[in-house]
Amino acid sequence: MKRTEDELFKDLLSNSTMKVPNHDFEDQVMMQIKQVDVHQKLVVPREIKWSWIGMGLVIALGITISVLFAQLPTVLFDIPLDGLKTVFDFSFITFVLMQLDSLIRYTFRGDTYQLKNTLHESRAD
Amino acid sequence: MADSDIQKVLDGDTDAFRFIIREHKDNACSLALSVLKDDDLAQDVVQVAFIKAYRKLDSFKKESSFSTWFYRIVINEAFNMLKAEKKKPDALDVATSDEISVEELHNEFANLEQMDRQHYINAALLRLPANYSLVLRLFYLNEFSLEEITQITGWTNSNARVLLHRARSEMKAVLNSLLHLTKDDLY
Repeated sequence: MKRTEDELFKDLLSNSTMKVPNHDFEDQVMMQIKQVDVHQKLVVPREIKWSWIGMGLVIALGITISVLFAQLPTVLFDIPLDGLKTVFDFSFITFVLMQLDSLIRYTFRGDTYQLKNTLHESRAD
Repeated sequence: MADSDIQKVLDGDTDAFRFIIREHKDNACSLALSVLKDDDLAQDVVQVAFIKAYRKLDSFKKESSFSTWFYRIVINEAFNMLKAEKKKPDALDVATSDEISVEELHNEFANLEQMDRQHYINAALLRLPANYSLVLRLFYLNEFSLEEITQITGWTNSNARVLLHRARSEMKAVLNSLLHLTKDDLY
């Protein structure tokens, strides 16, 4: 009984293969793969380079502001600056660490985000 | 599929990937369709899956067959797409009908033309919940073992067994109700 049922289902399901209706399917996928390759080889390294340069500038700017803050008197126009300095330093360090984490991951582990973007763009075309 | 195609791609021959696409696109599309019940979405998912497979080919360890590894990507992408589209799996819409025996079903289908048979089967699979049509296609069409199905889907072995059992019962019920429809109703 069981064997017959299995045979019946095997027979029935042999009729269920879907043929990809799009004849250009292979070409489309290959084109997207080549786009991803080009993106990976040309665009991504450039984006990463500029991101690191931007990160360097942000760090330099943050340190400069922090040093300038330190040179200010502890009270300015009756406003105590000690708490403000601590908040700035803490926020700056948190921001830099978070961005560094993303940038390191982006640099060394590939870019799934970019892959999805490339796909959406090519589909929109 | 020849391992040589994979090796060629890994060695930088991107065009060798075309043979991999050619060999797997129909089965991959059938599996994606089992989950998504929509031809266009299924094709989109398979495209994304091929590109992911291409990019991650160096992480394919050859511990399982390429098809097992690749179909896992397809199915994950299909379920992700299902979530993104916020489509709920179609509820079963099966008219209550008398239980049909395997023999009766076999005889009914033996009388059908090949094209009608295909249409009935695909219409029935579209009416089944995603997991049911998926497990039926994996087991009977792709002829994967239960062990391989667990690798592809991430289900446990007992879960896969239960799903297969229920899928067979539901498939028979759906086919039985479809066979009571006229061709005009079905097409």
